[in-house]
Amino acid sequence: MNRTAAPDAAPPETAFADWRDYFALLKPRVMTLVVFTAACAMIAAPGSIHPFLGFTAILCIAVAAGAAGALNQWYEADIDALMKRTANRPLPAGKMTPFDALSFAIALSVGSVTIIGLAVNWVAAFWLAVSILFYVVVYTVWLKRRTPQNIVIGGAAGAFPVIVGWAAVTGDTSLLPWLLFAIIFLWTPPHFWALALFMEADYSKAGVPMLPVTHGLANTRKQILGYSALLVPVTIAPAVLGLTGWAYGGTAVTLGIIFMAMAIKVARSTATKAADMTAEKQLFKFSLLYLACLFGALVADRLLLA
Amino acid sequence: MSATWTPAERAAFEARRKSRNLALGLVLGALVLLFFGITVVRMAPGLANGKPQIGTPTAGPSSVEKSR
Repeated sequence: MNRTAAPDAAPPETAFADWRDYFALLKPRVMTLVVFTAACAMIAAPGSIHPFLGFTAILCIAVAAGAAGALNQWYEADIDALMKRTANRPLPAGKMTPFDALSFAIALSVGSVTIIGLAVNWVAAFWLAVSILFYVVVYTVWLKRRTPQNIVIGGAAGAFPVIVGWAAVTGDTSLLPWLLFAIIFLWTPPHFWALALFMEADYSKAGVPMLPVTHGLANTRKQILGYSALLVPVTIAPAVLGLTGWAYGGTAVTLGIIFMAMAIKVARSTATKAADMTAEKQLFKFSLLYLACLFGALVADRLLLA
Repeated sequence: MSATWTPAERAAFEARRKSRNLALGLVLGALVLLFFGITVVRMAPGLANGKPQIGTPTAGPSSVEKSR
């Protein structure tokens, strides 16, 4: 082990990991989205939870998302090393051993599921365990390198935290959290494919079968439009079904019109060079704001109704 | 990288090991506080899952006195 190396032996590269490298392994930027959507689901859920237990639930959801990200990086260190965007991650950069990363990720996964189960409830713990296993086993190991629809499946993994957040408050899951799940699930393909369009060269180099690499730019643009057309009605469904008020419904309709307009612009684009893909970059950036505003409106709506 | 530790490499290694140990200590301390907080909330009388139970009287000093 690197920590017990003889004083005069050559220092391995992996002896130089510090806490920042372990933190980077958790993909903190992805954790932000997960925490935000889960927290919104907790506020929107009927009933209440003690603030300290609510904090514990959010903490466990964030740590579990980070652990899943760490397991993903452990498994994908070989392809991460090939892409400019990911080559500096701790494992491909050789800052820690794969064993250290795997141990760290497993400890966080087991710890977060156990703590949310003991502190909050076991329904939330069950869905948290499902979210980790889905991301690691179904997405990372099974489908990511096999199908260009990998992003669609990965979207489900990113959507589970709303179910966990809801279950933490209510102890069960109903129609609204599954609609929120569907919103994130359908939002993921347009969001990531817009990114993949202008990062296509990077994915191609790593041999990841992203849609623009396998089916071309035109087909990807059509699929972005198709998923956007599915997404917008689903975002409006909670208001139509009477599960939310029209504060949320009005926001969903307005944002949906803008999102569709941007998706149509992408579908009409014929740019082939990343530098010319203005519409794609705009959609990618707007999609982040779109999801944040939708969930923000959901919370505002619930607080207004209350 | 050279075959043996240079003073600069040793200093870098020790600084990073110290930062790792410090971070681990802080995480363990935070876990202690977390478990303490969870225990207090979960064991509070009249609360289930940290939520007040409707129709379940909270056991307090007055109810103890009445039962005497």
